[in-house]
Amino acid sequence: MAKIKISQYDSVSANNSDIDGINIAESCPPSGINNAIREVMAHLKDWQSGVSGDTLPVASGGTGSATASGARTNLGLGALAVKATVATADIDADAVTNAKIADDSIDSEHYVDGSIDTAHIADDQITSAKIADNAVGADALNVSGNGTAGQALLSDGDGTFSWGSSSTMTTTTGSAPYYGARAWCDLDGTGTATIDASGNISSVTDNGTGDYTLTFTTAMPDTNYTFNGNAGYYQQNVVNMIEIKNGGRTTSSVRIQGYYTNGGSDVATTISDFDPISVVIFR
Amino acid sequence: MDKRIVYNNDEGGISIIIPTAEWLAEHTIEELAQKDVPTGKTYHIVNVSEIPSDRTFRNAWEWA
Repeated sequence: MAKIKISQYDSVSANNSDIDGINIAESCPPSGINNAIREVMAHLKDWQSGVSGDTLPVASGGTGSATASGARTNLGLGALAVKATVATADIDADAVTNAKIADDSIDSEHYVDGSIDTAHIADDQITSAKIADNAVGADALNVSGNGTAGQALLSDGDGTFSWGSSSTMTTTTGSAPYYGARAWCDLDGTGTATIDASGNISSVTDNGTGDYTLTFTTAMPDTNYTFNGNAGYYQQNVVNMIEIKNGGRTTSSVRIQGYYTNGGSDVATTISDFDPISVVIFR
Repeated sequence: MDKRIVYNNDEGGISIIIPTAEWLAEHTIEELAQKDVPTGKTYHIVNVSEIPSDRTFRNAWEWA
């Protein structure tokens, strides 16, 4: 059979007795030698340009294939041998780690809507600076509707809010501002002394007869707060008083003392326990 | 609120800290002692039943 391309050449010289039908066997006619050389050059060109269909084996540094997909297969690229691109289905779950993603390489356009759930947002990661003005609507607070004038957002006690009228919101007359109490307490200073109710008071210390220290849960901003107190109930010809002891006004507590004085010419005061003792702090 | 914190005050008597319900709703009485007992004072947490209810001589009370 005539050798028409390089792959048909033989590594044994004696077996190469023709080139594309031109006789180059032992004792061949000299007139065919030039044609034989030109034919060899043509075969080399056909191989280099791929026309011959011959391939260079992988072991020789080639791909062993005349096609791209065949080359990828021969080079051991597996399923990727026939892929022009890598589809997401070809990427194993969790195969792409953070280390493989360049800084700032994923912009917001590449996040699918709804693709980032709360489990993937670190605690305290979204600060108020990252929330645009007016970006959080009432609906995002599980609040239905816009409410009506004068209504307030009230906690439902489960992390959601609803519009409503609050008994804690005071309606005032005129434009003067309203200031709420910063602390208050109602206690029984008799017997073992008990606290009936309080607000922003962590404890009451019974220091002795008629002598009590009210300690704030959250301290006052300074000592310039006002104090209003009541001691006991009305008795004819007796005046009950509750006052701050000297040096008893601090940001963290207020120490008070109850006493009474009889009416008429008797101006002596008597320190005494009372029930109730009611105290309000404003600042 | 059946517990009290007792410590000797600087005036020769004893002071008795009564916790509020609002405090105990979120904290312990031990935490209250850390907060409201004056620094350096040794204190004792006792049952309210150990506190006398007759205050006639309140200023003479001592911690035994």
